[in-house]
Amino acid sequence: MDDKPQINAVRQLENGDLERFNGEAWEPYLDIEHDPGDWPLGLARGDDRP
Amino acid sequence: MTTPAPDDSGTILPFDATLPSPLEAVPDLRAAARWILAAFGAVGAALIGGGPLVAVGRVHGVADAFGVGIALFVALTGVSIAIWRVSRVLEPPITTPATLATPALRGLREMIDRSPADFFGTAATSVDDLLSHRAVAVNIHRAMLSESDPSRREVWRRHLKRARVNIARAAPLERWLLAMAHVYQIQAALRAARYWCLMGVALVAAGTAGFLIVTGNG
Repeated sequence: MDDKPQINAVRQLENGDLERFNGEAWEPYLDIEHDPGDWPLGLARGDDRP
Repeated sequence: MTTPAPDDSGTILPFDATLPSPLEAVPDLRAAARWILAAFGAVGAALIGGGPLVAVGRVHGVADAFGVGIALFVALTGVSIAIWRVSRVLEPPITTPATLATPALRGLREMIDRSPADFFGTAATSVDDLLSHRAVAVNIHRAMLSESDPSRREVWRRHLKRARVNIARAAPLERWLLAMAHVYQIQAALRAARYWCLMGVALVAAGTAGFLIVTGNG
């Protein structure tokens, strides 16, 4: 019988930390950093035209 | 290139106010589709309008008429196939996070997952990772409700708060991703329509050749 958790299942460790199942393994659930430099680059309409 | 940048007062502009939306490409893609539709419509009109006129007086007997009919049918089938496929480009697709899991968007996912840092920075390591926060919040909420120990329940509550903050921070990137997926679907439909147009041209050519042979013999 396959006891593999569902993807994005969560569990709380004894110390209170949270883990998420990513489909293959449990990993710590981290906060997203709010860094404007992370935003994707892109071309605006008209940037490719003279 | 356009990147989020501080305004004159040094304040970082909101994400959505600075990042160009991929949706800006949609009008251009649909304009291309309309041009193709117009071209095939003109061919269809010429065949329907001109074919019978040319055939008048040159078709003798049932066999010739049948041959002309078949040839016109083949040619118009080519036009119809092209119009049908190209018109699908004009249909607005429905794009949700579930759409990202469909085979049609595999190419986009692979492109992003090859270099997630270019698309998501430190916010996520893959498309699935970016989209995980809502499901995680739901699972945390369920776990919190089923927890009987007040202290552990309070810890779940703090985790839920973190997950909700993550949802808020991922939301602009999710919106950008869905917009990109939306455009990707339309672009894929246009690309596929072009191949169908080639087939349509072949059918039009075959039908026209058959038509000329029958009417030429007459």
